[in-house]
Amino acid sequence: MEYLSLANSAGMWVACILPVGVLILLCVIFYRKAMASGREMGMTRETLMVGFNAALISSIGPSLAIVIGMLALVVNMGAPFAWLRLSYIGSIMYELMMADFGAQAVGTTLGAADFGQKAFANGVWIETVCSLGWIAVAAVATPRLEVLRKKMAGGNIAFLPILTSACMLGAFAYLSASKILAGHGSTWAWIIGAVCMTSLLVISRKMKKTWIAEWSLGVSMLVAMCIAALV
Amino acid sequence: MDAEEIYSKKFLPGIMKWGALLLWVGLVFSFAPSMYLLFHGIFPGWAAIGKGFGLGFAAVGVMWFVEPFSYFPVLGIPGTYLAFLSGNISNLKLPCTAVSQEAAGVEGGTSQGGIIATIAMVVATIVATVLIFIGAVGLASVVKYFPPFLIKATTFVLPAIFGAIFGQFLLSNVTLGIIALAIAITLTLVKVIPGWGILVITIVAMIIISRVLFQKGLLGKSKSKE
Repeated sequence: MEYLSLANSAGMWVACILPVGVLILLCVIFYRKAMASGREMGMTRETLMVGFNAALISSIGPSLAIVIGMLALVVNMGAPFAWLRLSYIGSIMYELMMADFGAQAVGTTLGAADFGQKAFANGVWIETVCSLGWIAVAAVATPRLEVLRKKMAGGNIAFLPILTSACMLGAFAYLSASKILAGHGSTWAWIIGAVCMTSLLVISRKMKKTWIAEWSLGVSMLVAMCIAALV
Repeated sequence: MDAEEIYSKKFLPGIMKWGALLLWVGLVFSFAPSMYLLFHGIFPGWAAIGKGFGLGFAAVGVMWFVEPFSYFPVLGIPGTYLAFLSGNISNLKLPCTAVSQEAAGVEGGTSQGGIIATIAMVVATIVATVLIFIGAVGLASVVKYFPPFLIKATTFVLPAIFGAIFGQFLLSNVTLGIIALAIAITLTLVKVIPGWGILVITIVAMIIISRVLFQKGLLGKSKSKE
C-alpha cells in the first residue's frame, strides 16, 4: 500500500486542484452572466434568489449521499483523486467501474491485496480517458443541439416547455424503471419519494409558499430513505 | 430587446464561447494527475491503458453520445456545458434544477427557465465540490462512527430522488408521465434491449407522442402560434 502516500501527497492535491479550478471558473462566469441577464430580462431579485436557495437546499442531500458512497474510492485511489473525479466528471458507479477496469488490465482488482502502484496509476489513466468523450461531445454538439431542439418545436415556442417535461419524464421513467422493479426497499423508496414530493408541491402551490417547494426534494428524499430502510 | 432576445442574442453567445473554450481546457487539465504520476516516473504502460480503455469504452462509450443528446432538452445550453464537465447529472444536477425552477415559478425550456437552470447547476456544483472535499479529507476516519441505519438508508438515495423528481413532473402532465413509465418499465422487463437503448427509445417516443398530442390540442396550455 506504499502508493497511498503518493496518492495522498500535497503534489497530488495540487494536480487535482488545477482541473477543479477550471470548473469553478466556468461556474463563476456562468453565474455572473445568468444573474446579469436574468435581471435584464425582467426577472426579480427575489425570483433569482428563490431559485438559488432551492438549489442550495436541494443539493445538500444528494451531495452527502455521494460523500457516504465514496469511501471505497477514497480508500483505494486516495483522497485528492477521489475528490477530483466526483466533483469533476463522473459519478460513483462510473469511477469505481473504471478504477476496477484499470486494475483488471494489470491483472488485479480494485481493493485486492495486490492492488498496488501500477494498478493505481492505471486507474487514474482509465478514469480520465474514459470520461473524455462526454466533455468532447458536449463541447462540440451543444450549439447544434439547440438548433435541433427549436426544429422539433416546429416554430411553436409554446411547445418547448412541454417538450422539456416530456423528455424529463422519459429520462426519469428510464432511471426509475429498474429501481421500481428492484423490489423491497428500493420500490418503497421510489413510491414514498414520489408521494411525498407531489404532496409537498401541491401544498406549496395551493398555499403559494415557495419555501415549501425549496425544501421539497430534501424532505422527500430523507423521508423516503428512512422509511425504506425500516421496511 | 424583449426577454427572449436578451436570452438568445446576449446571454447564449457568451455562454457558448466560454462553455466550449473551458470544456476543452478542462479536458486537457483532467490529465494533471496522470502527468503528476508520470513526473514521478510512474506510468502503467500503453498496453495496460489500452486494455483498460477497451473495457471502459465498451461499458460507457455509447453513453458519451446518448446522454448529452437525451438530457439536452432538459439541461439547455448552459446546463449541458456545466453538467458534462461536472458529472453527477441524474442524481444531483437534474433534480436540483427541476426543484429550483418549480420554486422560482418558471418553466423548463423557456428563457427564464434557462436562467434559473444555470444558477441552480452552478450552486449544485459548488455545494457538491465543497462537501465532497470535506468528505474526501475526513471521511475515512469518521465513517466507522456512522450508525448502521444511516448506512442502510443511503443505499436508497437513488430510488428516493428518482421517485421525487418523477412525481414532480407527473404533476405537470399525468398522461405523459404514465405513458413514459409504461414504456420504460415494459422495455426494462423485456430485457432484450441494453440500458442505453431503453433511454434512447423512451426519450424519442416521448418527443413524438408529446408533439402529436400537443398538435391535437390534448396537452394543457396550447397557446396560439407565435
